[in-house]
Amino acid sequence: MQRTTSKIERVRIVFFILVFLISFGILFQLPRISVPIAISFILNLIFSPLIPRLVKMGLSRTLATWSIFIGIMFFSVYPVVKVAPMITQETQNFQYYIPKVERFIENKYREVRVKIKEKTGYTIEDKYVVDGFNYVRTTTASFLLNLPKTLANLIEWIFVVPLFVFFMLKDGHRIKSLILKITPNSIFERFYFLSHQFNKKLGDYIFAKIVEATIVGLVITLGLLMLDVRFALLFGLIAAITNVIPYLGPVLGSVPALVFGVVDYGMGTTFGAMCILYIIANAIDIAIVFPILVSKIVDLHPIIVVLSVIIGSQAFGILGMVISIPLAAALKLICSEIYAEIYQNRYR
Amino acid sequence: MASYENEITNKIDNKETLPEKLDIPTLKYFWQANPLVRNKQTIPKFLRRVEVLKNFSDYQLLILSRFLHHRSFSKGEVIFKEGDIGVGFYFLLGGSAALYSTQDDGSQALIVNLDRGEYFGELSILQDKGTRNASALAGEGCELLGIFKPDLEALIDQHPIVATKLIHSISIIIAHRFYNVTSELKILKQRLKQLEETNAKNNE
Repeated sequence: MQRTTSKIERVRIVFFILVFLISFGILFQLPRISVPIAISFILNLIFSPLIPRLVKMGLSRTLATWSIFIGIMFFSVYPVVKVAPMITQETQNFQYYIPKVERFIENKYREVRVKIKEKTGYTIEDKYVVDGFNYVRTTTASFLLNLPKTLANLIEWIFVVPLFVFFMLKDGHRIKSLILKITPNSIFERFYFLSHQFNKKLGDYIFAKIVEATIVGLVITLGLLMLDVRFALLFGLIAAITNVIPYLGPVLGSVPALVFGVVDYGMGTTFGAMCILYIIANAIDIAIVFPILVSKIVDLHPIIVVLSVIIGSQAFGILGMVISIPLAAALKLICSEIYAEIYQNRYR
Repeated sequence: MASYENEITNKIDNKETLPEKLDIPTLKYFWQANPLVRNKQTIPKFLRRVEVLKNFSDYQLLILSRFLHHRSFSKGEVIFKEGDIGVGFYFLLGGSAALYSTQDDGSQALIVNLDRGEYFGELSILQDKGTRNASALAGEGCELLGIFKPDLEALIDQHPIVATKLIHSISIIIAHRFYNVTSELKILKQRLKQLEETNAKNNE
């Protein structure tokens, strides 16, 4: 049996890798395009499984895309129109509470300082607290100063993202077949199967995470409403968003609410009930939602999860935190494939 | 009021020549024209000639053809290697291909030469992480139509009837192969028995 990796095949492989490197390079260099494209790609992964179902019902692909698109628009109008102003109002009201929190911390700090002085005779300088407050103030100020820029981006995205999502849903299969056409023969089967699994993993993971975050957010919001705590909606939203970050998220999500609870209600029953509520919500998440939804999709060591989240946040911020885990899972898939190829020990 | 009907009636009254009638047979031909009627060499037309796909209707072959990937190989190029995880089932659209298997001593033995219209790799599309039990090498002008696991999944989701027919066809191929293997095994067993008997006689 004669085997040849022909010259043309080598050229194809080099060309194929170059195409990928150049496109990723361009995307990496231009965050203004790559961020909306990444968001659209994620939305596309979430909604694209609906298309085959609609096609099966007899709709054409274009019609199926339109109906999904109109459906998304229809169901996103209510939250945008109704919930967004409520949250804005809560956020605005919340800022009046910040001085109260500041004063509370200052008082506590003084008490602690006096106590330490009595016990050890050592005086803690005010520097730490002053520095801390300054840090918080400057961060908030810079956030507020950057707000117009963020909003401008947001407005740009509102127009660009739906457009991208629409065409990804409608013509995604064409882009896919174009990529497959330039895939070299020698890696075709493996590339096709791996990219399919990668997309599936990413889509499943993000869908599962959104369901998980929604459940946690709803439990917290309803619980806080029942306890008659102010800013229930805001805290629910914070809990839902931070839930996307593994391990660290639930803790981060509970901090603002619990600090507010201590300041506003003191160390009383309400604060205790809030603590229990957060524990229950996270227990539901850890015991029921996570094992059923998420853990099936990624089987990574906790250390790898934490590391990938840190790297992801460094590179792409919050979006990086969301996509770092499925990306790590996909990398693991590819690495194990390469390992098996190099060491040839798959079946021996 | 001037209408088409009045115009024709006037023409009949004046014994003028009438416009040509609509040619119903021609219209019917175009109406019923399907991808297989076109003169061009198309993939559905090729599929029509594949024996195992004879239970497909013309329209179903058209749908199936949209899920197939056209790949060209130059002579001597590896299509897949023995021991690799396989996900694809191939029809030979043009040219030739050959299947080889590795012997105990590491040499490659030719199993079969394949020509246009034949197919190979049917086990991989059904097995989960199934490995190729032979290598496939492209011959002169080898062109393949491949369907892969992700395509089969999409086909099941979008066109369940076409997918069922495809799986039916693959089952027929596998059933044939299995039947052949069992017959061969039966012959081998008989041969082994004969050999054992002669061996026993010789030892006596």
